[in-house]
Amino acid sequence: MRILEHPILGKMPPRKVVKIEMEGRVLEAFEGEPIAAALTAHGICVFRYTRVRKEPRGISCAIGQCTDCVMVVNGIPNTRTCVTRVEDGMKIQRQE
Amino acid sequence: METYEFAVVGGGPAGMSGAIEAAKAGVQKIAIFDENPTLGGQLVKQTHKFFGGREHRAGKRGIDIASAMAKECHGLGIDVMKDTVVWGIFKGNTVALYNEGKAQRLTAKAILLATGASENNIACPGWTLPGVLGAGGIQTMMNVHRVLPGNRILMVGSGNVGLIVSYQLLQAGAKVVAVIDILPRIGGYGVHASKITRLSVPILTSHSLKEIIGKDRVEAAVIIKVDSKNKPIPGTEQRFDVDTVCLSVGLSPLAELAWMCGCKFLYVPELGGWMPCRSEKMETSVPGIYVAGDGGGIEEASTAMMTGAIAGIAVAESLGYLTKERSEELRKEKTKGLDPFRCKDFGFRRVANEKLIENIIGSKGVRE
Amino acid sequence: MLKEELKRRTEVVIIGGGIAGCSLAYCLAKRGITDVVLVERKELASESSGANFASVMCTMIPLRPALLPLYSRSLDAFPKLSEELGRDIGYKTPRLNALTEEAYEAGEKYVKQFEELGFGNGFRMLAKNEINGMEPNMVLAPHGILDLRGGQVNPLYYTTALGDKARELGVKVYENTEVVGIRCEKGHVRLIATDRGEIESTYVVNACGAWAPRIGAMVGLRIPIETLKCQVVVSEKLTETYVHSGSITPISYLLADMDQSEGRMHCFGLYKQLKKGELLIGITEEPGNDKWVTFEAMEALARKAIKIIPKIKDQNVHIISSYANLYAVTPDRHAILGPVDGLQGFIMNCGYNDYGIGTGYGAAEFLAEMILNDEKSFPIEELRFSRFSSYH
Repeated sequence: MRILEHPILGKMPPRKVVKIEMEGRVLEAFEGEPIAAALTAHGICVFRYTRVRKEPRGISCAIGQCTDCVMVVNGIPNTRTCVTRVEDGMKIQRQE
Repeated sequence: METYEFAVVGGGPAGMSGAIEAAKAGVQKIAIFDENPTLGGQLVKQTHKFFGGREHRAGKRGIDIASAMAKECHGLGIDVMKDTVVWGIFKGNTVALYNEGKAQRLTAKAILLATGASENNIACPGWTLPGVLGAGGIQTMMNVHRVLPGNRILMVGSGNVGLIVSYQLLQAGAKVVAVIDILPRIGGYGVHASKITRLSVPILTSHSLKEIIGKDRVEAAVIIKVDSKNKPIPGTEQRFDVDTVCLSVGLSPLAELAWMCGCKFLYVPELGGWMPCRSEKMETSVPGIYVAGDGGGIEEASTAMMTGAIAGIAVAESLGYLTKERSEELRKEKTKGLDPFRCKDFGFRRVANEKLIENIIGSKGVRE
Repeated sequence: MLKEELKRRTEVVIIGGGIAGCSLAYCLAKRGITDVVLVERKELASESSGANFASVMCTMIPLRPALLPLYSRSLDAFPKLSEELGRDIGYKTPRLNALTEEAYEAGEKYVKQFEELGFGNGFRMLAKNEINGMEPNMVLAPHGILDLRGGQVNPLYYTTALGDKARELGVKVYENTEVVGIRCEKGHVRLIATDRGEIESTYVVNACGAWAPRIGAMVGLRIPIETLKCQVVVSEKLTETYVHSGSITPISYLLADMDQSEGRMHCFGLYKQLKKGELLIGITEEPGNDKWVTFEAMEALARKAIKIIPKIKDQNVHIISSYANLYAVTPDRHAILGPVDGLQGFIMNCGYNDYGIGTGYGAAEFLAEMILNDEKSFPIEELRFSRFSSYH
């Protein structure tokens, strides 16, 4: 859910929209925001499944320290989505 | 290979303060490296107003303090390298960097490690489910990225971070169903606690997190009452229907770089765990390597600014830009600025800091 | 945590808790000799034994016949050790030595010599390009020697498993205990002095790796061991197989034979993939006696690895750590094993150069038998200390 009005941060300023693709779905995101923020805004919370026990994982620290949020971005695995900014045409997949 | 006089790893309040003090004393080639696209460290998500005196920039919001300090850095001619990770410190004060897909290195006469801290977790059943975030994590999502990862939140931990973030969650439009704390009393300042109790958020002390339930994300959390020995009392479970569990259970210093250079470490639980020993001048057991801020022991942003400044002053002295007397004068000032945050309920910090200073005497780099 | 009281009198004291010391402790204990104390100044496998290139190997080129019995006995034991010690030691075969066209003849000659010495079991020359079929992800020289039973082991699990099993069988293992002196009287060792007290003993074994000369100095011996610093880079755990064999070694590494007369850093392309998927990317060698990791070594190792295993670049493999350790190098590259003339009871078990993990167990079997049968000299003459000097 995007915070459009905030008592301290004010109104969300106008931002350029870019399109990213996640497993067939085309999603709108704001230029410059991290992938994790865009996915969260669209209600996507499972970013990957663990290798051995296939458990769902999402965001944890949100500042690039814990590597919980890694996904395959444009074919490159282990990309930390909380610190990687969206780009128009980016392809994102859950990693297994 | 490029050489700096002073290299600062981490552009948060500690790092920026260190660089600013050194620059003001006349140190010439100073660089700040930060892995983020903006300077400010944890300040960039702090929408609340700070306490303290003028030297702590009290009355200002963290986000504003961050931009003011960043502006000061630029104004003083400090080289600021953003989106740059320092991934190693090698013998001979060699700093290894990673920026835009390339690895490089440079040397510096003095290095300040101001790398901050990482959030702790509680490993109860279900703790890895999507929807379980650290308090800092949720704060980043809502205050920096303007996205709420959930709508119904259980906050675990009633220290200042837990209380402040709960309030900020309410400001962002989420519902905080409760704040729990394993201790029998609220950990943070009364002023922060009353802000949320006024808005009908219950603070349940003597409660611990038992388990988190959900399939693909958090669906509910179960808490349990604990006795005076922190043991769970069976039959006192309470279930909350939430989609998010926020863990605000302390921080641990990120001290890997100090470890890599062979600094002597000490385990100080009151300050967050393992950290490098350091003198009153914030110098570690390895000559030329300094530490400040949460990376040297968990306190808060205001103390980070002071310890960073103390390190900057010491570096300027070591490089010959300040006389011993002048440096002592300045250091006394900054050390006084630490007092309000190390007294009364936080007096344990003073004792803990003294332990770190005692233990550095007579030690040398441990990697030989 | 309270430290247990030291045992004051014992039959054998082993100084050093690396592969040499732990192997000997276990080999003695399983023969019923449990009146043994092992002292280690840090923790088991804290030094070279816990941070090396994980190789189950022995020097092949140049051929060192004196070492082959040590290797052979180790290879006989490896397949059963996990079960025997109650812990998976991560043993994985085979080992491949890649040979260039120019080195082919020399390789052939060595394999023939192994066979003639009776050690041909498991060694053979690979056919041209057979090595590429075995390692499709790697760019290797076209020929190779196959060492069927060599390869890799997890040195940390292996060393600590040996030490722990010895403990279980009754050996006293004292970690965080440093030897500060050794007392001798009338040509006999009498006791060791530690920072926690003294221990009288009939035998004192020097199993201190790079620090063996320090222990030697305590009894007036000059042990000719120099250190060589070796660095390794470790990758993240990979789900795919990049390296199929237990271990790959190029001919250049074999021919260099730890020669440091040039005094600079050499980088060789040796590779392994551990059981959990990490790539061990090795190794650099340079003169040195510290364990600081260097940027130069990491860079050199990474560049070479990308050339030889291009998939590393394509798949954006990450480095997660790097470490350095010290080889204990002897002038003739042979280990130093057995008693010292003129100093009764003092036993050498050190100088393992770059084959400690691969031969330490076999050496321990010989040493344990020697102690059990109260023999006065080590059965393999070339490995005796007397080849250097005798005690005065």
